[in-house]
Amino acid sequence: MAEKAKILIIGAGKCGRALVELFSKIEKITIIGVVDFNQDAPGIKLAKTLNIPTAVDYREFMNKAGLNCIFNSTGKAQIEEELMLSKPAGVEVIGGCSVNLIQELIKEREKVEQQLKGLAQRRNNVVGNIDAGSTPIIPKMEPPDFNKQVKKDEDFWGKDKLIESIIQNSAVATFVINSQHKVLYWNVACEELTGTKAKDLLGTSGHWKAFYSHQRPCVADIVIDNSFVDLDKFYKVYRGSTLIPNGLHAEDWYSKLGGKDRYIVFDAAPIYDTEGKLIAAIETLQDITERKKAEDELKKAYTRLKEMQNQVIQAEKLNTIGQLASGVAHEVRNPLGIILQGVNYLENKIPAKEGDVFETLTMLKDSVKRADKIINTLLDFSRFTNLDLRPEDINSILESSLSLVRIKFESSNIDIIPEIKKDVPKVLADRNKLEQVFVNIFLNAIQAMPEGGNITIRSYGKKLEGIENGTSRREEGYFMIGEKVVVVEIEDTGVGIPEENLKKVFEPFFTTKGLTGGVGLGLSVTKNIIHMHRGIIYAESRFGHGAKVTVILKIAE
Amino acid sequence: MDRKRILVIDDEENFTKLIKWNLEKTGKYEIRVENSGLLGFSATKEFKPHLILLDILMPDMDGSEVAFQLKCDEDTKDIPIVFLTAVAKKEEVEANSGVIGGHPFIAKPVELEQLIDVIERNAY
Repeated sequence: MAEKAKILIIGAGKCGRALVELFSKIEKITIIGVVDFNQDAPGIKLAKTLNIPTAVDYREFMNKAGLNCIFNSTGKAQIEEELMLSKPAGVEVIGGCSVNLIQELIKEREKVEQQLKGLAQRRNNVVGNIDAGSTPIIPKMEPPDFNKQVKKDEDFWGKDKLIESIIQNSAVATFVINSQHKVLYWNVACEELTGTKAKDLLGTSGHWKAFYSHQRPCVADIVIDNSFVDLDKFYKVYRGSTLIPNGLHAEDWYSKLGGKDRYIVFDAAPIYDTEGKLIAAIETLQDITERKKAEDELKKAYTRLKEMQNQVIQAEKLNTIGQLASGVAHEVRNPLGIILQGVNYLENKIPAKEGDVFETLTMLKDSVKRADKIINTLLDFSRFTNLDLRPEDINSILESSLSLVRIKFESSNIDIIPEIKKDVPKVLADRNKLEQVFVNIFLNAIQAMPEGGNITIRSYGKKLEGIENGTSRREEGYFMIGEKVVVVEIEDTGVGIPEENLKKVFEPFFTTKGLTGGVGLGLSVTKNIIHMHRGIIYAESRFGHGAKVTVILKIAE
Repeated sequence: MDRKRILVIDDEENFTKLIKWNLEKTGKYEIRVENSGLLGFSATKEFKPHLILLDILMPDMDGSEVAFQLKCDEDTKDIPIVFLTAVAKKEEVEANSGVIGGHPFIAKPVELEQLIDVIERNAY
């Protein structure tokens, strides 16, 4: 069974009270709370009698599990804005004219109920009169007698002028279609919004023409057909209504709708008769173009800000590392120098190069070297040493880098698959630095394949044809479209890199190897070296399906 | 054969003490240690070393200043100087055949064996 929709009502005045009364009677809806700073408000009083929790501050309920929808009946736009900003993701906020409309409907229902009561009374009187043999009085308006349900949909609707005027006069663009997809209502607001007149659509199934150039279903049609498949073909954003079972919410851009480009939010709900038979669907349209544009602008601005912030953080990190490195190098290497000299001294004091003491001294020496190596990596940041650039054959650089780690590949059960093009143009490169780059990439690949696997090494020359993945530094003028470049791809069959880590792998101090692995500088040094060559490096991966690192370098001319 | 006189100028006292012990133990060198640039500079004329091991970062008078003053003095200008540095990397020093700016360099931490090798190559 579907879970009950959980709603929160904010504002417990007349309108809020009406909402509490209405929703508390609906079995599929649970009111998780009613909020008003005035604890004597009529809605609060009603809630208390119904054992519904109440509060003066809506935040008490905001993070209640399963909250689907918030009704803001305060009529205050400021609260609505607050709610939009603070609501948990996925929670709908209904306020403003939607709540007014509901309130209107409630009032009308009450009126109709009153009328029905009156009519029933009158009919009883009439029946009494017939029984008494006198002439029956025919009431002016046929009562929508739910016990003797009228067969035709049109009749059910056509007779109720009250409902018609509610729909017609609503400020929300609204239309209604019957179960045969024929338009029953197309209100004034809808005419305004779409630029399509009711007289052209009423009684036809041509409502799609108001939105599209070819025939396709609208959300109301989908609700009537109850077929919620392939919706992504039709709408950019869609979801089932959180409030109305079998209702549908969709959003999309429309060009030249009523003469303007608009972003429209559609909400459709099925309409049933008392026997539960689907007889129509009501669809409302809201033009939220301005809001959407503002949102998009905000999103863009946020992304730009985030990018800038990242760049600043990166630059800060590098700067700090640079300053730290020299200091650390001096402060750490001097004691290391003393330790190493001390070890040398003790080595001369022991009779033979064996035994516990010798072994201990060897361990001390190894530790000194390890600490020194970390300092070296740090120093790579502090100095941008001039590159020794010469025209180099990338394949020969790959070959010599490979020879440095070949034994590791073999002992890790990794097969090397070379896909090297022979006539690759030469690159302008610092051979030693590029070797360091490839060795780093190879070592990371080995760590990604603890069970063994394959590593494919490709090299080829090509002409850059367009913006490519990862070439984010293109805007800095590193490469131009049409430029000839050399590409090296190193692809492994290892565990892969989770998407959230893809951008981070080249950042300093990012490591997944824990305390035993490294300090997380290897790949960031790699990136620095490639950038010093005015080249590009990026990683692609699907977690669990290996990773590919691509290096693009300028050719030597 | 006379032992070569080596002057070690470095503000790390423990380092210079160990260097002295280690080098003297080889029997090939006579070591004098000074723990400040200023004292090292004045000791040079008197000690007349065959080579100076000179730390760069020192509080009172840093290594490059000491070297400059020595180069300006007719009596000391030909004494070979090997710089000791904790800031340069071994790889950088080695990539430049141990010479930076015309001077031989040794990156700390240094092994005795390597130290002797540099001294032998540079002492006159």
